Amino acid sequence: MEMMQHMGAGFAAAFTLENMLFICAGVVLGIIFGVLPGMGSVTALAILVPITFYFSPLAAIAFLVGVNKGGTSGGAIPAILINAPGTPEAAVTALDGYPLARQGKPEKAMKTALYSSVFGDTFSDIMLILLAAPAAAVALKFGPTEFTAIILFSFTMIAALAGRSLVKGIMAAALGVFLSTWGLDPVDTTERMTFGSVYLWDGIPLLPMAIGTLAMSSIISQLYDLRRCGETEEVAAQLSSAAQFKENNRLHPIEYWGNIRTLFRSASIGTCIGMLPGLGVSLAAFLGYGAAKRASPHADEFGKGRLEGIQATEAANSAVVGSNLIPTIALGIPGNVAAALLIGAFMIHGVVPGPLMMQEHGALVYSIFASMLMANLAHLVIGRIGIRIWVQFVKIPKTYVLPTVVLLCVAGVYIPSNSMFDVGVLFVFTALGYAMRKSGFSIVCLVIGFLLGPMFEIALRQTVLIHKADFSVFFTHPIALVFVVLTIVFAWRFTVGGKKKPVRSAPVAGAD
Amino acid sequence: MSLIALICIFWWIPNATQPPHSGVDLPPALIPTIAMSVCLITALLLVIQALAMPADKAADLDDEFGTEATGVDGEVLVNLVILLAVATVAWLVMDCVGFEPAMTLFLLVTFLFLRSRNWAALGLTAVLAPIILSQTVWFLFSTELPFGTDTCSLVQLARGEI
Repeated sequence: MEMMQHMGAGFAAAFTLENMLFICAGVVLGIIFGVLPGMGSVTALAILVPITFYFSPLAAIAFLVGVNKGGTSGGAIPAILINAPGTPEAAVTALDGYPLARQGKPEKAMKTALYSSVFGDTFSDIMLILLAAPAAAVALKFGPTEFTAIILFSFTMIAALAGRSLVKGIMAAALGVFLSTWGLDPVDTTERMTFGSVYLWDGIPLLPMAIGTLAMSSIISQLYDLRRCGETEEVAAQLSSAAQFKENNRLHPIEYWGNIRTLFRSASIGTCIGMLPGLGVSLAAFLGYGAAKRASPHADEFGKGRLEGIQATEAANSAVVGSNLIPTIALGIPGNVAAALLIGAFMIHGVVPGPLMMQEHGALVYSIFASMLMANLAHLVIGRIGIRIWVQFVKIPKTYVLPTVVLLCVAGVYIPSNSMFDVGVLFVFTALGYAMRKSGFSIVCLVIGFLLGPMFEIALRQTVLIHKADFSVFFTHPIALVFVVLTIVFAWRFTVGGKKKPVRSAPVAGAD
Repeated sequence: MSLIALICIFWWIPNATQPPHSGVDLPPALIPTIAMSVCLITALLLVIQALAMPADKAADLDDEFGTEATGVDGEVLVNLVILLAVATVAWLVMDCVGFEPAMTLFLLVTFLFLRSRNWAALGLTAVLAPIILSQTVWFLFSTELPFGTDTCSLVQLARGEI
């Protein structure tokens, strides 16, 4: 009851024209940054935090929350329209979004992505409001041992994402892990596979690696196809008839809400991942998609334009945005880079996140919660209007769009680092990505391996150092034990005991 | 891949890593060695799989890439060589001359490669897109995209500095 009163007061404080305008501006800027390859919400926050110095504390945080929400979902747009995901998490959206766009249903795919993103956001915001303090206490029980077990479990997702060849998926993931170990050793800071170059001390940079393999390689592959076949008429033909296009792209409520269990499952996964510091949006997207594919009776239709795949990914990755503020607000520990930047913004305005924040700035915190819920509404409205605009890009000949996207990729990689080395890495991984596409090796698994490898190594080595190489801790810590058992069960199910469930035939585009 | 994995496991990783500082720590070479060992095992499995069961392309359509996964044939290798050559030239020109001329050249070559003959649209896109992008980046982020220097890689190479 007391919480409801606080929320009422929060809404009263947040519901001003000035605040609404800042939220809307934040969402618009976030979506624009999200659309550009290599940008995304983290870059947007890093650039825009200093601007908020002149705002009131509430307007500043509301603006940045809007940027974060818009930026997280904006990456889905190029992934769906041209199969050029600018971030690793958007790569999973592209698995089903792009096939749907190729079937002449880009608007339907984008609507699904937007609604799922708003659903995941709202779910995690509500969890944040209700559970900030108790959830943060639970998150504190997670140490290196538990993280090692969780990340080990996450590797089983490779089985769900590997496609038809599990062996190729495992090989791609192992290669990703190997590439992630280049650079200075995370514990001893000794050199590993650096060729004596200082550029490699920080390892292979994630951004050019991800954009090269995921986005640029897809663009290059499409360029070669364009030269061989010319502009394909399939989408253009479907776009030519306005009535047919409208009918194809109508998202019926039954199609969307028929997968409500997937939405709740993914939003819960994203919320849990967001609560735990150091994991992240990409892991949530991979886990959400993998869990949905495993649970679905239509697993074989994933990757061919199934709405459920888009819903699972977008709900999971957007749910991280709200819940990563749980450790931020309750403990002062940032859940990820975006939350760390938000902590900076809090501190600029004299608010120190941590256990005393609710006591000292309770009114402001509830106003921020209210602003987050209002930002979801703004995101829904602005995103819905934006879809009409983005879909027009499909009508521009690919001959002009695709080469221009290459420019954006190069600029997107260069801007954060100011380094030609990163541009070189981008080109090298573009070639690797192209070869992998043609030979059917999963790029998503490569990126998963690259992302999980360092997390796993650091957590494992911290565990070994803390417990003096006593590996029995994985069986004496209850949370770790649960994840170790789950890992063994899933690994057994996908390999030795793995027989695929019979698949019922159903329409591809998600009509459950 | 098997050969690369073998070289990595037995030669490169042991020579490119150092022993741990602490007696209870894991060796820095452990994770890369495990990763490459997995690569080796899976590569051998793929070889055995290919020998035992010749692939049926129609039935074995890839989930992630669909018809895009055509297999590595002569055409794909030629495409890869073209890609690497264009990327190397683009990188060197960008490093020495700058983003705008390098990308204008890249766009022109790409449009011609795609057999585009709409000269007006081609010229406008090739010239305007890099300039607009470069100016936007400067205006928004105060970051200058590569602008070319007299210490670029090609000049250093010519001077014998690298």
